[in-house]
Amino acid sequence: MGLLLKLERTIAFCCSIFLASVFVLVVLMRYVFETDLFAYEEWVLVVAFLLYFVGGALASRNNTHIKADIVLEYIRTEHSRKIYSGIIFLIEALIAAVLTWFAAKMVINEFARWPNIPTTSVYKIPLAVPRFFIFAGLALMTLHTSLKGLQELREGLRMRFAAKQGRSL
Amino acid sequence: MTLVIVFVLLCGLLIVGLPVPFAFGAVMIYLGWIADVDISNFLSSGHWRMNNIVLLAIPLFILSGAIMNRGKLAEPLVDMASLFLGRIRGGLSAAAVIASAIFGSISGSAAATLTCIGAVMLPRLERAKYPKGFSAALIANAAPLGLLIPPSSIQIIYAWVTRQSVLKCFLATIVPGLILVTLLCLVNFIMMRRFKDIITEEASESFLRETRKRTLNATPALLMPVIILGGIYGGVMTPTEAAAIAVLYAIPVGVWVYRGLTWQTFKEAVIESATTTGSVMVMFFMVMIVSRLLVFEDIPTLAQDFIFSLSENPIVILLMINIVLVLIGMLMDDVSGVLLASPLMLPIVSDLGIDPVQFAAIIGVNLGMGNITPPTAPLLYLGARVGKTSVHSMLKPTLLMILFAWIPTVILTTYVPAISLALPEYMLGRW
Repeated sequence: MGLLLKLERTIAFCCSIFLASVFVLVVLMRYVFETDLFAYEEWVLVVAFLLYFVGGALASRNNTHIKADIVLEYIRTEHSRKIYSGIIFLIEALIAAVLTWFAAKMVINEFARWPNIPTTSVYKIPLAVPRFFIFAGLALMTLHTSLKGLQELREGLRMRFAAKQGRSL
Repeated sequence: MTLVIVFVLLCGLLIVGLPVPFAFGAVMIYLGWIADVDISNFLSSGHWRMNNIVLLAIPLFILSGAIMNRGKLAEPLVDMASLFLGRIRGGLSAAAVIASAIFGSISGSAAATLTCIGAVMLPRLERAKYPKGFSAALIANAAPLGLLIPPSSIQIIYAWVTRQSVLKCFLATIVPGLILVTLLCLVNFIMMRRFKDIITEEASESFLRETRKRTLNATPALLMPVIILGGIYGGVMTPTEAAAIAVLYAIPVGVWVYRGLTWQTFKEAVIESATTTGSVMVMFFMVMIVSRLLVFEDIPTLAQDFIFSLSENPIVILLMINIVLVLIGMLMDDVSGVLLASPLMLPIVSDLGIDPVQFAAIIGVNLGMGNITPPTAPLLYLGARVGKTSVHSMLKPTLLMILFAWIPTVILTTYVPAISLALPEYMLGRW
């Protein structure tokens, strides 16, 4: 998992720097060299999709997806909070898994049209590439949230068990 | 019926604590299931819709904001604002509102404004004996100014969804933003009148010298919105290119001017911004597909018929729209709120003769108010965490600010079109 995190962070870092550099270059080329980066949108958007979905996977891992923790505010005991958030993570993982399944179907459908797979008009980049990033991102989100859910649930149950034992002693 | 089920399902999932993208993902699965449609087609349509260069302005603005955060940009802004206001009771807290407006225009994010200005300002306010709950509530209330003072991510999204000019939408929210700043400062001064033990800043021996020093120190930070907005309004750059230039500008300012940026903090800022980008754009992807599906199901027409069946009085309809927008703002964040509300409500307001550019301002103000309106109020909870205080202690001041600052701003923006339309018309001509 450590290696996967390192890989995700490296990809996210490189994509962010790359995107910012491309647009600075576009401005420089327009005003300094008086030319343009022909059809740069085609490859820039592929990198953008990689950033969006790797970033999404990182957000799942760090639990920074936007949500309203209203119910958690009202749960008093730590073990109940852990169990509750574990269940929510697992529901999240289930939804992400269903979406991953459909994203996989989307990528497979692209290749079903081989050799006439849809591509971009200038550089002929297959549309399957950004769509694969969508699939991979969703798969990583499923992995992270399910692991997090299981971990929270286990910790919550362990704490509850410990609390019960403490009370009986 | 579909709309009711979708609304109940969405609210239920959000309230139990499911992240916004997955709550919308569940709605997408439900809509695909009832319509017996392959959801993989929805996902491809989501890719098509997001395959747009304009949207890249959002990650780049997030990146520039993150770099500026790490580059210790907030402190000189606060120093400068407090120079002019710090010597009167309630002045330091008013400076926090103004600093939030300036910082919001740089970062374009309410949460970033709250964490950054809050981290700098709250300890100062505590030292000056301002009530803790009040200080946290004021900064939480001022944080959504980032949604109104351009460049604002939600205005870029609104313009893109409704096919409006980004420039017009940016300009439409400036006056409502300034009205809100003024009202928040006024409410703050009135509330602080009875706190006699507040310590005010002592007048420095040479005010002019101090002004020069602090203004000079804040100038590199203040130049950021000038470069961005000047570039966009001057027609030199697109919003996406301006965002990239903002990143390029933020790096040397953070490293050499404010000395907050090192290789380590830079790396952290880039990865943190990529994570924020991911959470925003994945949510964007899901919400956009769902809002498209709702449009295909002809939900906007149904909603329109429903609203017009309740009343045909434009004032009442606009009031209902405001309430729904605030409720949306209470339940979800600004980005998903704009994505969901714009396609659903624009046909209704257009029928009432409201200009889509004015609606940009109405949406911005209402969602901002929703973000700080209890019981959900995501920014209020964040404010409590940043201010290390209880939400309970923030409630009374927040409600007073909603009542005397936010609601008047919402009413003025909704019922006086000139407030949002005069500036775009003046700058860009009538359309």
